[in-house]
Amino acid sequence: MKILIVDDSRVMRQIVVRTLRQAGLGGHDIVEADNGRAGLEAVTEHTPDLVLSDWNMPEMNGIDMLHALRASGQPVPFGFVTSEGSPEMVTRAEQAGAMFVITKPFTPESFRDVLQPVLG
Amino acid sequence: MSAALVSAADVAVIASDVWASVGADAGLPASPWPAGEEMVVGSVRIRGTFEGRVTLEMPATAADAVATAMLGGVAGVSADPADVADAVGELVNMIGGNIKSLMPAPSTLGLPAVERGPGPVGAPEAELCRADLSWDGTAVRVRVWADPPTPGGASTTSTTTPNEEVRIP
Repeated sequence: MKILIVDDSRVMRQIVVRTLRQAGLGGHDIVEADNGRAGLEAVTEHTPDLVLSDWNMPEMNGIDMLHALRASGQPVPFGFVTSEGSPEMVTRAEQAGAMFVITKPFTPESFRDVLQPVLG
Repeated sequence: MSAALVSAADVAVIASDVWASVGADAGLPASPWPAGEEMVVGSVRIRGTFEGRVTLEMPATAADAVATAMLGGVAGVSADPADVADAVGELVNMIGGNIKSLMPAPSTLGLPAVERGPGPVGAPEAELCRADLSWDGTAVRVRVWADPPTPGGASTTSTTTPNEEVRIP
């Protein structure tokens, strides 16, 4: 499968990749983007099977990216990996079409619990 | 005034969880707060029912070790300055996001900013609480600050327990 990781922090993108591997979910093709706008372009260019996106980013944030994807009819599975895991943020994410919200800080176990069913 | 929105103990627990998630040991005693060293200061704003910011302060040498650890690199090998700023910004973003979750909704989290310098000086913003921690034995400080109340505006922040402090362990 191909996974698009969208986060303005290069360090965090690396940590997400490392945590996928530590969770036993490595071996997938990884594509990266550093904000929501670049993420939209990456979805068009790379047609990922899953998007893992931060929420707060410059240029375009994650929720606006998700709205734009769904408004264009793009159904790619989408989940947030964000430091903002409050109930109202989770509700906003789900209403916009997100499959899940993983809250930072996360662990390989939390990644596995959420992503194993998605990645098979 | 309302009750305190966030306590030093809350901050310490959140920061310790963040440390653990990137493989750092928060269990070692914090060394004395370094004086005279160049500091790296990460900051992220919270806006809404609470107006203020969260800061993360550490010596530049510790920030370098933080970035190396977060990138999965080899200890002793200096990280690129941009990666150091990125790593410290991501840490304060994670801490700030979780502190924001303790605040009354609605509120929003800003983007992190990182600078080198002496660190926050206090007034006019008010220090609500602090947690003095360690990153693998090096002193690291997390503080929550409230903006000064606007003229005629109500403040949601407490002045009942200013400068609450906790150290781990």
